[in-house]
Amino acid sequence: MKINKMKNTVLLIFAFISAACLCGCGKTQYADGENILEELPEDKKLVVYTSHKKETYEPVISEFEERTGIWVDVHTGGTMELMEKISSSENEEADIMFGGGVESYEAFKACFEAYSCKEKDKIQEEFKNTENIWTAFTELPIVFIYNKKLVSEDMAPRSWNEILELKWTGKIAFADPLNSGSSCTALETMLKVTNDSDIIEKFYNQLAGRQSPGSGYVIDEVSKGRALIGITLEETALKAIDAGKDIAIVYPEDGTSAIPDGCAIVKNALHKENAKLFIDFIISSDVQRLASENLYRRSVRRDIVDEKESIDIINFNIKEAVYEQKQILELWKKLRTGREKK
Amino acid sequence: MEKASYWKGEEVKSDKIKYSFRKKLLLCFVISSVIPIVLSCIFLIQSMKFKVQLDYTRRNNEMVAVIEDKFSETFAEIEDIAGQFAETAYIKEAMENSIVDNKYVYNKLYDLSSGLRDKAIFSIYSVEGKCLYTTGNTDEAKKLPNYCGILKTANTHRDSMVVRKEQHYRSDETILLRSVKAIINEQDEIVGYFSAAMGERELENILKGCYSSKDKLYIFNEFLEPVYMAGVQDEENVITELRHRYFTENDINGPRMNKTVSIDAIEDYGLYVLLVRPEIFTGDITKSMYIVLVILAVLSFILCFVISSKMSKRLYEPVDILNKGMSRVREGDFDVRLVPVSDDELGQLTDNFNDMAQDIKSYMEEQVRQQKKLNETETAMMQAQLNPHFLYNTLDTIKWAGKANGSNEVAILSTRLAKILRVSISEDKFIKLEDELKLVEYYAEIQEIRFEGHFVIEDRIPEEMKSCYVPKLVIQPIVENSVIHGFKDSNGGKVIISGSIVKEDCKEKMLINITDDGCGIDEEVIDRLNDKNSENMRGHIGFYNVKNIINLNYGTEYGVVIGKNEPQGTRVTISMPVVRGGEDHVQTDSSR
Repeated sequence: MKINKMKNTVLLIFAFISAACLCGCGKTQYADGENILEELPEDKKLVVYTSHKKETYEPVISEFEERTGIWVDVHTGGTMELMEKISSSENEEADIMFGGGVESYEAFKACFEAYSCKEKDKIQEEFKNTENIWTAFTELPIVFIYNKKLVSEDMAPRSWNEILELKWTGKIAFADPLNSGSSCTALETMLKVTNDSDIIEKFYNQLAGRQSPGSGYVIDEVSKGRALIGITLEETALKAIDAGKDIAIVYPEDGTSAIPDGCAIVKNALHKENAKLFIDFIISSDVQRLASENLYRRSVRRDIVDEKESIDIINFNIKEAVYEQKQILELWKKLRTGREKK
Repeated sequence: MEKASYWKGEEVKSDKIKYSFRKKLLLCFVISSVIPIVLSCIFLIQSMKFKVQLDYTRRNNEMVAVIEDKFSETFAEIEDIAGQFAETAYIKEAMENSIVDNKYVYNKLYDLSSGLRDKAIFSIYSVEGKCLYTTGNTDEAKKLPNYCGILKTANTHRDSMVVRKEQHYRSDETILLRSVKAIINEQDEIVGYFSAAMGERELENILKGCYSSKDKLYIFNEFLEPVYMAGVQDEENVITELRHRYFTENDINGPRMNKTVSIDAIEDYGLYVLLVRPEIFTGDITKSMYIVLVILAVLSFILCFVISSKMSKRLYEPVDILNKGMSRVREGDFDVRLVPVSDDELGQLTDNFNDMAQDIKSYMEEQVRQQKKLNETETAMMQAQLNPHFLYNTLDTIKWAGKANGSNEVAILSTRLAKILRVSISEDKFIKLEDELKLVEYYAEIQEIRFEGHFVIEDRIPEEMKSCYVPKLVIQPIVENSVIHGFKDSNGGKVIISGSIVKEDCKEKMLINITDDGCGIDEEVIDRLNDKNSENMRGHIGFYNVKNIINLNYGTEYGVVIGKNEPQGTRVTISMPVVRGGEDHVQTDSSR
């Protein structure tokens, strides 16, 4: 009986094994993907974290790929989000951080590695930094926009003080500075230009509760006529105009600031050499020219002639800017909660 | 045959047996039928899947090859047109001088591109990248940078046409793919660029009929960036995932459960085609196949179960009946007869059982009969008994009367008779052989006085035998026979009583021979006397009595045999087991 039992169990086991094998047989057959694509060597790779929009980073990156043959793996996200990811201990892959205001780079200084790009001497003075933690790519001035149909050219505001006039109360499109770096810089600019310590509060009241979630929405609000004027980046505005939106730009006569966006090599990057190539690349005249002529941005190089309107740019000491930003954001938060209490 | 008797007696024991037998049978059935069905179904399903999958994959690869061909063809034609255009007189001049809106040029352009205008938008660019002529909407024609992008690439690859994914500077751009060839003059300088651009509509036209609506088609550039996605629009994530996987693991084939993927390269133009077609064996189909398999397995299991139940019932029922029958026989009911339910070996078993029961019954009845006979004999013996004391006293009186009257013979007769009678009516059934021989002696003395003839009885029994026990009055009647029959015609004779102990089958057997040299007995009579089965003849009661006493006490293997003595006379041999003093006497004794 025992032998019988053993025989039975052996039979059953055999049955199950054969069944399992047969099951395995039927796995999906993949086509010859392996043969078509060769193995990618490590020195032909680069991982880029970017907060730029697709139409900004794609041409740059595809040109880089075309010229160097290096494959770029792009990870998108918000500036803060990406920087936090880089700074966290989890990060193992990022080589380059591309995009985001340089003040963010200052804040996350510890994550990046200094690199002095080859053509550093060609960069405009105000965009250089001695520590070389970050390299500026382009600068984006802050401008006013107005709805062409609803506002005539002479009625449009020409200066920061004019924004505070009654006719604009509640009709200003402005992104929440807690979300938008450019809005924050705009407030700083306002402060610097007008030298009025209450201007922030006054401006807050001038908004009368209207707030856009991001700088892109500002265009929408103004072009659709929900707001009459708006404060946004020149780049965004030019793009919109080219796309046929009914807005026009005013460059503030009392001056405006331009936010340089940065690029930096992440500390302990796996593909450091390629990262260096990338930084050199974005500073190169071809790319800077592309940024200026096709990407609606302003070059940081001295030798690139910009066809855009020349403006009076006020630039901050970056470190000061970081500090001031904090103050402004605190104030803004207080104003908001104060207002809600009312 | 008496009627069969069934009853629901001891169920427990038989249930256990029946159950395990049934289980074994069921298991055998299951193994031999359900498991093969399941295995072969699985095998069938898997091999069918495999085969169909193989065919399907092959077809997919073919489809992809077709798409690749379409593209190659289209690009080749475009390149051809570009060449023709460049060669056309005046074109190069117009380009060099950046002449715009020239009807001749336009006509030429439209003429050359007439066959392909649904597949591409043809444009002419100046060296600076300004769009001079286009077959598309003039207001959509964008300025291309000549220091980077496709124009730069065309610059560096002057002799061939380059095909690149279009760089978008604004999010509302519609061109996806562009091919450019530099137009070179005799001085080997670039005077302009010939461009054929494709948007979604143009690509759709190129690929018309190459894939179905359920398929997903992707065109990639050489860096695996998606140029065009047909089919489902929101597959961006899958593509980026695919590229990311290739980037990090060098393997684009990830765990994608339900898709068949075919990939091919459009050589010469640095593009890849990826076709994703829905799985032919979706999870649903496979699941339903397996459901069918399970149903089949269950059905066959049920069938097995039913058949095995019936079979085992067929087998154990007769066994059960037999079992119960035997139990009853053990309890003493020998009238049990079973009806055979089938003609096979089990039926035979039943018949044999019935025969056996009958044999036992007969045997038992025989036993009873023999016991009865013994009892009758004993009863007869008892009836024959007179009050012993009366007999003794009378004989004693006779002796004294004889002695008183001076008759010695009377005294001897009476004393000897008294002694014989004493033994005969005593309760002891067995006496020592030496005592039995003494009886014979007394008998002889009596007969001597009765008859005038003289006969001798010789005792040749070995000493060791004399202490053995024998039934009383077994030798005396035989000796009496010799005297009465053997010596009736003569005046005397000799009777020799001898004996021996022989070993037969590990048992000791005692043989006592009584031989006389009388007139002997007829052959016929001898035969009849020896024959066990014949009726007892009259006139030979003594012989038969001895025979019966021996048989009843010791069984039929012992007995009395009569034969001729040489040279004359009769020889009687009594055989019985050796019973020494103190042992139990045999079976019939204990049944009393």
